[in-house]
Amino acid sequence: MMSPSPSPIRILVADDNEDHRFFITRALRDSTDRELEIVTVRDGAEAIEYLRQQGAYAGETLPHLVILDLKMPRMDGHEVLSEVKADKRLRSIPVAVLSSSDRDEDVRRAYELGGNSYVVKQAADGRLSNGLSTLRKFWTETAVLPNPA
Amino acid sequence: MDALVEVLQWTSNVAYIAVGLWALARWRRFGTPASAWLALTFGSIGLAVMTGLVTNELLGMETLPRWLTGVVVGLIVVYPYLLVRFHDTFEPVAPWIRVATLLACVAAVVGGFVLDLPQPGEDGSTVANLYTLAVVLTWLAVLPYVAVRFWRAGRSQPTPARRRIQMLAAGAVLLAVAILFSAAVGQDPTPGRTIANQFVSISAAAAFLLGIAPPRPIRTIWRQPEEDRIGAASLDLLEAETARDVAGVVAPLMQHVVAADRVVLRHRGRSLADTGPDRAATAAREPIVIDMADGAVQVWPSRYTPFFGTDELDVLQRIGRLTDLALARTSLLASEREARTELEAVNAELEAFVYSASHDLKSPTIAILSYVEILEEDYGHLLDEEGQYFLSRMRSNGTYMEALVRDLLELSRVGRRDTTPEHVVLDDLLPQIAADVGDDRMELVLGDVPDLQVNGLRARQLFQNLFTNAVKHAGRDRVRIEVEQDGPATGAGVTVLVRDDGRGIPAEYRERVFGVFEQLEVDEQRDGTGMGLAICRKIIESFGGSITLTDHPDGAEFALRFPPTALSLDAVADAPQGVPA
Repeated sequence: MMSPSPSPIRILVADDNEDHRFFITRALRDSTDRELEIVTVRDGAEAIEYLRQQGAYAGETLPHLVILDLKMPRMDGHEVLSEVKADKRLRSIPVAVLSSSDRDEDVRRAYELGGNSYVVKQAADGRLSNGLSTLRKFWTETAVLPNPA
Repeated sequence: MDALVEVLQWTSNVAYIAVGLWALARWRRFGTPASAWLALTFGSIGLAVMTGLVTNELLGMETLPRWLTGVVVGLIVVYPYLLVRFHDTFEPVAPWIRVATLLACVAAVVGGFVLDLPQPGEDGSTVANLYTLAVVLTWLAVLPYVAVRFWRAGRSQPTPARRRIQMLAAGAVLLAVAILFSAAVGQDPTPGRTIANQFVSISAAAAFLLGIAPPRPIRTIWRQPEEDRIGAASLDLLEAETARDVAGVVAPLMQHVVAADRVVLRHRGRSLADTGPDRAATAAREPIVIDMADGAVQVWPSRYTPFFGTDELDVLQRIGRLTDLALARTSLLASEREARTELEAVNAELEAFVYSASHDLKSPTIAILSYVEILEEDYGHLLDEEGQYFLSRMRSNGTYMEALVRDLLELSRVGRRDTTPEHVVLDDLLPQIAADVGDDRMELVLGDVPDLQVNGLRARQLFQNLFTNAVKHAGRDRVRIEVEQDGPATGAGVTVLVRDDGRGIPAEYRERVFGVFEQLEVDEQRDGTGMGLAICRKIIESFGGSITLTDHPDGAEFALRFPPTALSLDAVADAPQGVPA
């Protein structure tokens, strides 16, 4: 058994909708005993730049987990997934897809490309906040994450 | 024996006179060079026979005067030349053959007048014998030549023309044999030889008659292969989907029926077919034109057709009418296809629009609902009762909007062909759905139901929507839903009835309920979007079936028609295992 890393868990959130980034960040920060470091980017291309530590993100450290929207401008979530999972250095980072699409083909494709979980954004009856809190609990408290290279 | 000889003699004479008269009749009817030469060929033989009959039987002349013998012999010896000229009207004969035959025949005619030819039973002089030998040699050279050429030409003709040409060729050879035979036995006529000779001679006449004017029953028999071909082509025309398909069937058929050198089929200003073995040879000839409603067929028949294929020209007209009908049908099919493609394109565009629009509506709806949630949780205590009420209305509207967007997305998705059919056992599926919808709110009574071969997810959605609908509109706490098939599955498919004992749906709304956003009553709870039945209809239409509300007195009864393609075939064999014990 590996012991959890003592340093804060770094999470990269990629979503093109400002409000959604806000709710996700808010829900992740909410009542956690582990310190979380949340970085947000606005599209897939920025996510890849961040992960490759290019441009404005030179010198940044790799995240422990990526929360990824699918429908984004410039580069969509599926493309980000295939880039990440094809990259030797990045492929061990878990990617949790969080999309408003419940289309079977989107779900299937995300898993085919190596996505580690898929949660559908639905807001009624507090489903989004509940879903996000479950997601947070699982990835930060239950699952063991590898230390990024 | 003598009586038989007598009868055969008469038969033969009558037959040749008949052949001559038939040939003359055809010439009068058609007036073409071919019929003129044919009339001369057989008219002269008929005249010779008639002269013999008249002088012998009516006038009782034992011997003929020399001039009359000359006339009779002349009428007979020109036969090879006339036959060559008849043949020449179809296929040009080398000029030297024409000239040589003419010279030989003129010489023979002159000889017939000048020489002292022996009467039957007499021995001829040496000169007369030499003359006979020369005539015989001419016939032996010319007749097989013409017969073989005719026979060969007949091979490329349709069956009736081929048979007639072959009959003429056979008749020509048989007549030559008969005349040579009579020249040979003339010196020593035993009854046996005479009878044999008469048989050959009558056969030749019969062959000529069949060649010149075959009786209708024989023509019908000869035409059978062509009729079979037309029958097969008619079936092909029924399957033709485009005008080109029609041309592909008709052009070769017309070409075959009249052994055409060329067939051109034009329809609505474009050429659908231009075929034939000898298109270049048709430049100077006028085609037969068969007019149709939106076009025409031009046919250049073979040179043998006008003479040997009179019926076939009528057959061409008949095929023309068939073609006309087939083309009218393919035009209809084409415009229908066009309309369908257009409609499909419009539908696809609309669905794509609905899909992207509803997808784009999702994000702001989620944002609004999430902010409402934060407001309620974190700032709710700052609001008075009215403020809290407003917040709750915002939440229920937001929730309703999210449901609308979800159903719109669903509706746009149902029609897409991305669903694969699978074996769906309604016996197992329906109780599961009933449990999901709420066992405390509905009782499911399951009769005989078929196994389906459709997309399982869609089948579930279909019945789930129907059950939910029945529960929602029951007008009381508990509803009884009966599902059973209406009679056994047939080649036309099967109908499944879904019946509830709720309030039912007034007749005037029975079509409207399948529309998008249709609700029959004010829905205070906002727990439905009015799209459930629209989705049901779209699902079953995507299976190729239909859904309607029947005229049921109590409650509502939906009739779901599944086409045979939506039925599981192995389910029929597996039925005993599929039914729970």
